[in-house]
Amino acid sequence: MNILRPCLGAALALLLSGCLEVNQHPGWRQGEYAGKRDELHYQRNFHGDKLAWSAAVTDRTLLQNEYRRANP
Amino acid sequence: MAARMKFICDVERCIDCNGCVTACKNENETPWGVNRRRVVTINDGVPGERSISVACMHCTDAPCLAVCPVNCIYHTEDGIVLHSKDQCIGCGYCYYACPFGAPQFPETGLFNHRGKMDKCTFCAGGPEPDNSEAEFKKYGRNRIAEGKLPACAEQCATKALMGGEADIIANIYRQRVETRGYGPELWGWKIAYGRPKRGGEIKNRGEGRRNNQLLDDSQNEVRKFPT
Repeated sequence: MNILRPCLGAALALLLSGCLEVNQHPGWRQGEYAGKRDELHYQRNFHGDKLAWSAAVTDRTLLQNEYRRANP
Repeated sequence: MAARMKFICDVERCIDCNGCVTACKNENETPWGVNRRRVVTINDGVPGERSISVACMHCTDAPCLAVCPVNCIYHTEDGIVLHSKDQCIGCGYCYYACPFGAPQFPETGLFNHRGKMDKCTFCAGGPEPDNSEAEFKKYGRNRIAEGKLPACAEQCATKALMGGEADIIANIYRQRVETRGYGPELWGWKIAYGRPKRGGEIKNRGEGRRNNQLLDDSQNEVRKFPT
């Protein structure tokens, strides 16, 4: 009985671990997103300059607002 | 918090031209039968019909990612949902989990006979060196690494489909709705955009007709021809 109790506990913990969901936002570590090797968007063409990349993307995002050109 | 890249489609502006679908296929050279983006029309042919361009919505809490048995789907730090075709086993669980029908398969068949899953990458490629040939062949163009936005959103003639950082495109959409006075009903304005007003006021709420709608206009009258 003394051996059975910890065994039951371990089995329950193992069973419940199957119910866990994966981390949706694992973060970029050592060139990988949770095991999937990928570069950061600004690494290659922007030579790691995140500010320049985000300025380029933000510029284009704002260009989608034609009210900035001709306000009705 | 890092940027969250999202799409939003302004149904009041979408004219069902399918330009986004064509631009996507052209940019990513997706095979026959794989449509990463498509235009869905609600109440087709009935006055008041609406069209909406649908692809992967890059969910913050993505159901496809939650159900993938080999964990091949991941979020980039900008919230773009990508996947590894090397790890994909073609089980199709993501297809069943996705509420937008985003995951596509090159073949029809049962479990793992459908080939590798393919879906909208927000023109951000996948887990291969950026802008490499291998990346293009597997995932299509990587415009995000070039500092550009997805081809579908950038080419939209009426600017119905917008892509980019969620806060910015939500602000553009909010300004539109406040200016024209209607249009957010389909999305649940209060939940998504309910902020104190600056400028315009939303005149139309709920299901009623718009205050500037001409009831005897040909669009609202089935028996009348446009003149």
